[in-house]
Amino acid sequence: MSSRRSDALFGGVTLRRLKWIAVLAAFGFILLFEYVRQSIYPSLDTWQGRLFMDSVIFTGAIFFFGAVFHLIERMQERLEQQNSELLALHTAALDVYRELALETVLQKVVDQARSLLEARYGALSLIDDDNRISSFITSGITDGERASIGDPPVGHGLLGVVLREGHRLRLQNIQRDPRSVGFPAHHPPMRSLLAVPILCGGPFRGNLYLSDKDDDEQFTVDDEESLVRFATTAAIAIDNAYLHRRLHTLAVSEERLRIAHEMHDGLAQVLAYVNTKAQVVREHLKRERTDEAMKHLDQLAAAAREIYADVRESIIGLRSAAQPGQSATDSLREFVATWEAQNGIACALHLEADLRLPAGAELQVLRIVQEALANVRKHAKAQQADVWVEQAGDRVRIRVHDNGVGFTPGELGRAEFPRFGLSTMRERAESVGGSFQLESTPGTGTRVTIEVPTQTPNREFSRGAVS
Amino acid sequence: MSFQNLSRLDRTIRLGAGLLMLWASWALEAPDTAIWPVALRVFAGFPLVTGLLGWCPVYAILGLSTCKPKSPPRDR
Repeated sequence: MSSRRSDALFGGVTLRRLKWIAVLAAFGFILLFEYVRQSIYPSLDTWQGRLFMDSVIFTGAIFFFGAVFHLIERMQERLEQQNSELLALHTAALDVYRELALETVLQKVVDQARSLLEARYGALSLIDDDNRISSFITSGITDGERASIGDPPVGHGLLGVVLREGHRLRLQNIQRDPRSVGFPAHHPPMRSLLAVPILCGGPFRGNLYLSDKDDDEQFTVDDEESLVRFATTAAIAIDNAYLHRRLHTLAVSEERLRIAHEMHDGLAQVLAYVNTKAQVVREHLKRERTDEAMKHLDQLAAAAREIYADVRESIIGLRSAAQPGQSATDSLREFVATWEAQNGIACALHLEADLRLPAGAELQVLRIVQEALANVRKHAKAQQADVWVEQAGDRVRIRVHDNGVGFTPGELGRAEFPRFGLSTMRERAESVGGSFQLESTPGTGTRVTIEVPTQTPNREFSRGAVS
Repeated sequence: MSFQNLSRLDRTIRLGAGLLMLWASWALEAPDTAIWPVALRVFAGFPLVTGLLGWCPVYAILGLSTCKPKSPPRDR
C-alpha cells in the first residue's frame, strides 16, 4: 500500500477527461487523414499512395489499441492491488476477531493497524466521558522506551485534535504543524502521522494513531482510506469484546447466585443434620451412653469437615473462573493445580484442544469439572485423576477419569444428606446444548464425559447462557 | 504503475528523430507529386508524440519499457 493510488488511469488523466481526449483524438485523426489525402491527392491511387494511407491508418490503430491495452492493464493492476489490500485487511480483521478479551483485542487492533500500513509506531487511545485520554495502548515502542517517556498523554496537541474534532488527520511532518506541542523527553522521533477515530456502537470511544512508515514514505490518501476501513472493522471487534465481557460478567453473577443457592441448600441440610445429631448426642449423654454419643460426635465432625471442604472448593472454583480476561483453559489449569495441591490426589490435565467456548458455556464446563473432581475427592478414594480436553468435530469433549473404587450408577444409594452433584452436572451440560455421560463399575474408577458445542447453537442457547 | 514506458534517453532520441524527419521533409528537394515529404511529416508525428508523452503504444502492446524498473512492493 506504499504506492499512491488515485482516480487517474492514464498518467494524471482521469477517466472522465480521457473520454473527452478520446473524442478529440478521433477528430484529430480524421483531420490528419484528410490532410494526408489532400496532400497526396494526385498520387492517391498509386501503390505508394495506398501504402502510405494504409500506414497512416495502421499507426492510428497502434495508438488506439496501445491506449486500450494500457488502460486494461492499469485497471487489472489496480484490481489486484485492491484485492491484496482487502486480503490484508481481512487477515488483520480475522486476527482481531479471534480474540474476545477486551485488553487483547485493543492491543491486537493497534498491532494489526501498524502491520497493515507498515508503520513504525502505533497507538490507540481510549477516551473517557470528559474527552480525555483514559488509556493509551502502544505498539512499536518497547516497555523500556515507554517507561522512560513517563506518563501517557492526556490529549494535548495533535492527539487532542482528533479527540476533540473527531475526524481524520494526516500530516507529513508533525513538528511543522502549528497545533503540535512537541514530544516529551525520551520520546522516539516521529515525523508523519495518520490518525482516525474508532466509532463503536457500544460505550467504547477511541482513536487510532500511526506514525512513520517503515520505508520513510508519507502516508497516502489510500493509506488513510485503508485505516478508516480497518477502524470500522476494529470497532465491531471491540464492540464484540465489550459484549463478551458483559456476558461474562452476567454469567459470573448468575453463577454466583446459583452457587449461593446451592450452598444455602447444602448448608441448610447439613445444619438440619447437625441439629438432629446434636439432639441424639444429648439423649445419649443424658442416658450416660458415652460410646454411642462419641460415635455420633464423630459423624458430626465428619459432616462438618465435608461441608468445609465443599465450601472451600466452591470458593476456589469461583475465584479461578471469575478472572476477567483469563481464558477458560488457564482457569481450568489453575483450578486443577490448586485442587491437586489441596487434596493430595494426583491430577493431570491433558489439553489436546483449546477450551474456547461461548462465555456462559465456559463457566458451565468449569463448574462440571469442579463438581466431578469434588466427587473424586469425596467418594472415589482415588490416587489419580485425569482431566482430558479434546476436540470432537464442532464440539469440545471433556473427560474426568479417576482410578478409584467406582460404583454401579443404577444402584446409587441414598446418602445421609442429599447429593446434588450428578443431576446438577447433567443440567449444566444440557443448559449449554451439551451432553453428559457417566460411566462407572465397581473397582474400575469413574469416567465423566461431557461434550459441548464450540459455537452458540441458537438464540435460545444465548438467552439460556445468561438467564 | 507509472504511465510512462520510455526512458529519458529513449525520449530524447525520439524527439531528435521526429524533428530531423520534419526538417528533412521541408529541407530536402522533392518533386511536387512526391509522397515521401508528406510521409516524413506525418510519421514524424509518431516519435514526436511518443517522445513528448514518454509513452509508446507499441511498447505498451508488447509489454516493453525502457524505464528503470521500480523495486517491487513488499509482501504483507
